[in-house]
Amino acid sequence: MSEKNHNPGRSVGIGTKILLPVGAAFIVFTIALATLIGINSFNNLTNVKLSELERMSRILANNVTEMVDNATLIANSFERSERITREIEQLSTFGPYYANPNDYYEPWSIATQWHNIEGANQVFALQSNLNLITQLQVSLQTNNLDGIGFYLTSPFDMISDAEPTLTFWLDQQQVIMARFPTKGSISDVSYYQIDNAIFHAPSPNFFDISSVYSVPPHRFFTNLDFTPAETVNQPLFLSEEVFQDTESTRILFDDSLIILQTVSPIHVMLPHPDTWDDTQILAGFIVIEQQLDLTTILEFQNRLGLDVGFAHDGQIVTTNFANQDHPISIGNEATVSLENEMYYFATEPIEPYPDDLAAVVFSPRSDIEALINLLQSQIITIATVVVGVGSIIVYISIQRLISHPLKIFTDHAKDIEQGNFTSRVGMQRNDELGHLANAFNTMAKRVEELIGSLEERVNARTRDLKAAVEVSREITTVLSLEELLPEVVKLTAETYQLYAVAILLPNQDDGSLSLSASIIETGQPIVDTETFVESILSKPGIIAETARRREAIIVNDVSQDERYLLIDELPNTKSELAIPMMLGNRFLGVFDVQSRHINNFGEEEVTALQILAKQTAIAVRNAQLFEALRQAQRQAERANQAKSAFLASVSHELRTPLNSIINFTEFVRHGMKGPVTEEQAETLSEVVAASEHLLRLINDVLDMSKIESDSLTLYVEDNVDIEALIDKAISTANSLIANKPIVVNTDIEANLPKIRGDEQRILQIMLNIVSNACKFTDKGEIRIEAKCENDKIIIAIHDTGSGISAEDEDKVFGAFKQTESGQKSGVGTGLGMPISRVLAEEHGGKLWFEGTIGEGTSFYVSLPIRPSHLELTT
Amino acid sequence: MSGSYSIVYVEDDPGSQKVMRGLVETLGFSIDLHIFEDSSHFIPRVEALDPEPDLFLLDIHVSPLNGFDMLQALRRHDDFQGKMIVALTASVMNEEVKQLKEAGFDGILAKPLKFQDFPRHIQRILDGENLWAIKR
Repeated sequence: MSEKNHNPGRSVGIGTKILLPVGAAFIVFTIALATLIGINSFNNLTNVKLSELERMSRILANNVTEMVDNATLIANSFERSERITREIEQLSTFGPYYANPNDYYEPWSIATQWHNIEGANQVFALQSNLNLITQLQVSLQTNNLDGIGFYLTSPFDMISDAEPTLTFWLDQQQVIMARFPTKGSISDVSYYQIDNAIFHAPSPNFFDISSVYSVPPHRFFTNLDFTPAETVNQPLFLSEEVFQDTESTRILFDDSLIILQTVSPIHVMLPHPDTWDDTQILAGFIVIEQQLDLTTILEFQNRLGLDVGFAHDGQIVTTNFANQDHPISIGNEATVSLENEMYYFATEPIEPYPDDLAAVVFSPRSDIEALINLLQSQIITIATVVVGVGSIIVYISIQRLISHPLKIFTDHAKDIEQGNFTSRVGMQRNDELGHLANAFNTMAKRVEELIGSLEERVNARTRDLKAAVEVSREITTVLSLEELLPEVVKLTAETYQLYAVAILLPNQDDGSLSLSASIIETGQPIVDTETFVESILSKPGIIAETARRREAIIVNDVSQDERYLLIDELPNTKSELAIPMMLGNRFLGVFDVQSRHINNFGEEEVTALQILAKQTAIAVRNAQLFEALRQAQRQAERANQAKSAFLASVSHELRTPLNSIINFTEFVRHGMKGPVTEEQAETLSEVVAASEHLLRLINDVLDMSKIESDSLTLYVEDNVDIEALIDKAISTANSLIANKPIVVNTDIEANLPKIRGDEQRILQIMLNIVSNACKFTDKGEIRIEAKCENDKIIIAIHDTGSGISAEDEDKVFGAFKQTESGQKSGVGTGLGMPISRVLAEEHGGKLWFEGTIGEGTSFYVSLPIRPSHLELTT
Repeated sequence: MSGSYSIVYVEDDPGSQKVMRGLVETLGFSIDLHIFEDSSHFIPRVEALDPEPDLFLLDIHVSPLNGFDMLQALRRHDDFQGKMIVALTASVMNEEVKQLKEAGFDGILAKPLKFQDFPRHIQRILDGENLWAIKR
């Protein structure tokens, strides 16, 4: 079973497996339900919303109707107000229409020309005007009207058909007065205005006739600071439709602005000019304006909590939110599109203009949709919580009923897998799980029985392998038989709990066996080896026969086998196994084991011990070979050391007499021991030359021996001057060519770099080549060239001598070999060139030649300038 | 002191002693040459010299002290530790030269000495130069 199947992190429990589909089904169901509810609700909610809108539109319409009714009440109240009627009476009596044109004064001219006021009439009229304005101003502010004005009729005017004429008009911003300069004419009417906030009527006593003349002029001025106004929004005359002796109200549209205008006639009691009887007569009209402007609409919106608007003639004229340029038609649809959004709406005609004005309320469709969404999400949330909690409850139930018992089974199965075969499931249940527990325990018991015996076998096998491994390790680490074999017998005895183990190796000379290593129960080797060996050799015993037959012999009961030989030191042997140690056909000895028990060596033990014997055989062979090799190496080393010592000694012993020979000869040659003839001096020179040759031979032989023993070491320095070495070579050449007709030429590149190397050895290379060139050249030229190429210096030495063919390469560079001409010349050791080549190669360079028989030879030496492998000699 | 140099040469080979005497004659200047035929009582004998030697030429294979022993004795001596001490030996294989250098010699002259070059070499040594490559 792979471990992966037991990984609890990856397994999916039964509870989860059941819950997943059930939960998924629940969720799908919930979503479907929520969607259905959503669709259904949408319709219901829309209906609810629409009826709410209808209700609200009625409320809005009523509000507007109330506004209009209110305005009518206000207008009516003026007729009932004594203060107002009194002023109007006065105005009608003394007003501009009664004034003599010559007596007519502008109020402000009174301020400056007060002394010209000739009658109290003018003062009274002015006072009434101002008082009436004050009354209207109060009403304007108190009732929050958008405008209020007074149109004066001319009850007893000369112009009988005069229409009611605008006398003054107030709105929230300003107060406007009309001036009629010509009595009975309105052609030159002009208007004057003052800020509403500034206007304050003088006190009623201000114009008291008794005080008129005492009023300081500046007070008129400050109180009546009117300025000319260009135009007035109000019509000069009331139109025919309202110019009736009844209350009326109407609606005006100024683009999107809706104006509600309420007109109320005012009657006063005046003396008839003809009869002087007091007569109830229509004196003028109060006009009140109420605007359905944005402020008003926003107020409605606030009050209703809905978007509101007004429609006229099937078109939305104004709303609280949409700044539509064109009126928007209201069709038969349930919705209208405003500002890119769909709205539900409801309309209600407004009294008293049911045909002209309708209230409209709106509600965005998205509000309802948002509501639906909220509803749906709440349904889903609640459903999810319900499903989640339900799942947990179901999961826990499944855990308790199924998963937990299954886990117990799993744990016990794991126990068994890990080798605890006594593990049993202790589950007392009467259901399927209880039966399963019984079956499981029966199986575990059976496994335990099976595994128990298997384990024994595995232990045995493990023991065999362990011994084999340890012997193998010994073999690879221990190469001396004296150390190895005692270890092997010890390991074998311990591992297999044997009575005795012995290894017998054949003797080199006669092939007879001798005991190499043994161990008995005490942990000690067999003491009386002589008897042991004698006994096994004297008769055809088990071991001797094994050696002879080269086959393993198993004796499972020694008392039944006559080949068995009782040994004093091993009285309790009951069974014995002797294995020949073979390596191919080579017999390397006998591996003998003995046990205290009959039938101790079964098939498996025999196989394992045979492997051990085989390994031991390999070890024995390795050790023998290693020993032989080691001895050979020691001999070689000794020989090499002896050779080196001998050569060093030879060198030393030859150089010492040569010191005397050469220098004594030089003393005599140079006349230090008395006069010498030229002939004698020449002979002595030859003695010196011969001695020098001998010395060179010694050096060469030493070098060669070093090369062969791989012990040539260079004396490495930096800044070796090749040019100086060439100079030395040339001077040597000059001395060597002596009387021969040879010219020595050089071609050295300027600024030749100095190199790293062994100066003496490089000189040795060049001297070898140059001396050869001199030796084999009878006439002509020896030319030495040197140049720098890449990172190398190339030295070329050309001669015009006998020449060497390419086939002679191995003769030139082979040790102790000479070319034919070399042999003929009778000079040279035959070692110079091979040594030189090795020296060049030791420097990381090369030595080679090109030549033609009869024409000459060119030797080339390449030497790296900075050989990286050469370290400076310290 | 007459401006000449004083040299101690330890050498047991009579031939080599004679060679040195002959070579010294070829020098262009005068030398006080003290030849020790062995190294017994080496330091007392050196101490007895007046003036102090300028240069020691030591053969290696002498007894009772060999060249290395004499070198050590001189290097330990307050008066001589700074003198030029050169090995004059026929043991000139590379390993041997290396040993000499490591032991602290100031240079080497190889046997056989070269008649023509000897005056130049000895002058360079007396000038304080360490010669290690004078071999034949």
